[in-house]
Amino acid sequence: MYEYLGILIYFFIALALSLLLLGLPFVVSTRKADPEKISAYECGFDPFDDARGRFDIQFYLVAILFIIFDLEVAFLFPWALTLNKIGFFGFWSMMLFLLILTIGFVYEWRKGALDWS
Amino acid sequence: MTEFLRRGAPGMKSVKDMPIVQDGPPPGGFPAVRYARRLPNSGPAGFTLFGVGAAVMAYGFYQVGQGNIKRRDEKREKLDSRRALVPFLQAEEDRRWVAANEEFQKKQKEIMKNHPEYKAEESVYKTRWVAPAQKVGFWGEA
Amino acid sequence: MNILIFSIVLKILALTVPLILSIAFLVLAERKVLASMQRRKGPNVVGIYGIFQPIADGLKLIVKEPVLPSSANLVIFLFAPVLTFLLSQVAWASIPFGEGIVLADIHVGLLYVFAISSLGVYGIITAGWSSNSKYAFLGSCRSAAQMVSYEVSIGLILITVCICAGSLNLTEVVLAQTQIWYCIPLFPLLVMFFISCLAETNRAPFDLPEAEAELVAGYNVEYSAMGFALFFLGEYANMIVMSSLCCIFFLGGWLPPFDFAIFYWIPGIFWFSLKVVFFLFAFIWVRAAFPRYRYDQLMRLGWKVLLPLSLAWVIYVAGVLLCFDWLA
Repeated sequence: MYEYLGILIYFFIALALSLLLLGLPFVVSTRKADPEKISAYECGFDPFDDARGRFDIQFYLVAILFIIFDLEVAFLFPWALTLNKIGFFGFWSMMLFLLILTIGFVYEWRKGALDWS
Repeated sequence: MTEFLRRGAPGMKSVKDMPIVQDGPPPGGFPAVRYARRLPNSGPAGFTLFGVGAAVMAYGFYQVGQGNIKRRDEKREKLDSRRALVPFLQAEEDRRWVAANEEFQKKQKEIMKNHPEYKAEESVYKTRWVAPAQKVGFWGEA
Repeated sequence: MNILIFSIVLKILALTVPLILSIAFLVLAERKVLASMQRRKGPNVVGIYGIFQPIADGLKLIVKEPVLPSSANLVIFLFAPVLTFLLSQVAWASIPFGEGIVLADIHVGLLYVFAISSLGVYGIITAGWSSNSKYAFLGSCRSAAQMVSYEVSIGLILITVCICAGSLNLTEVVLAQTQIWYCIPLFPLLVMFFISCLAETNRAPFDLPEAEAELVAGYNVEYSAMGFALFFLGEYANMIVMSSLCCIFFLGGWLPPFDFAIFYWIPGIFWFSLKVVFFLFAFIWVRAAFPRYRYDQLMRLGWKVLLPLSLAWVIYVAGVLLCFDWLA
């Protein structure tokens, strides 16, 4: 039980370390803000429009697919741990679940959701 | 160098007749360059590789199985030994609890000796049974 | 309680200080090894064989001016590298270096490690988003999509290892390999896991999002001294974590190769380090040897090749082990 305390303390120590590393250049180096320096990088041009425009729908699709398969992995974890106790019945139930997910996967493959990124 | 003009060559009448010495290929041309890839098709065939790999992996799974059987038995042995120890540990704790309880009762009687109606051994709960609280802590705290 | 916290802090120091040193020298090692593979010498000016190069790099990054872009959301902008570095450090909490030599021997160590690598995507996305620059945002989207695609196959490979070992506890996974290391029955899985680790840490040949020539260092284009240093350190720490995970899951952690008494004279930490160094060398070797994957080829590999393959392996291993009663 006290192992998680180790993780918590490590979290705080690592946070302190990274804030230290972050703050050190602010303290040590000179800072002279210059309108050219602090504008966004656009290969030498002035930045066009706001970067908060549109982004490709493909990334959204990838994220949704990741959620689906990550949930599948999350369901596979307890099954993998107790496979010796649930025997063949448990195995085949999980195979049914994986079959349904695989049908979904084949569908999206055929529909082209996995093409170009 | 690609070319230079040789000055003072014999038989020259003017600058326009200077022979040009050029850097060129040797007479008869260069020998042929091998540019085609020659990847030798040596080594075991695909099926052999696959078969050897499958055999090694099958052996590996067998060993994983043996290891798991051993670990299963060791785990069962560990749990059995813990199960066997439980009565002894409980007896130890019971002994400690009884001794600590005696201590506590004595201390209560000592403190409340002017109040004869306070009976320390009696439980405060009159209508139902409540398990005696661990009044004396494991490290002797109150 | 106090002594518990004090001992934990000591253990964390014993973990963090060598880790930061090893990250620094890994940077140098990468440059030297890459150079040797390209038939030149790497940095050898700063110290003997360039030993002080990482210190010089660190000093340079510290004294650089931290440029805060005018159009960036400052809080998130400064928070993203902190998050990346933080996660790469915290992942070390459950990695066992020897029998009982682990900071937090939690019973869900495998799940913890998987969760940390999933959280790493946040750092990338917040970095790109808060920079408010189209290049950074695009680079971070692509980087995040790549990381996330290979997370799935990492998860499935972890499932397979979990089936073989019967436990999520990382120490238990290593101890399960005393009979035989898992790289022998599961060698293709080792290869797949290694490839997924390469893609997960945005390393070559999957480093298109941060390829210098095209997208100008991708999501960290707006970061100067401190942020860049933290991203850099975080990436290399991630690399070392992934290498040590490869060792723990497939190469038997701290166990010596053969089960003879003479091999146990060498402490387990030495074997562990040897294997981690081997994988780090493999990381660098792959960077030197292979051309970069184009982005759509990369995503095709993650979704259409590695995911079905690792899923098939889960089913196969579960079936084989269940049929012969070889489960843990």
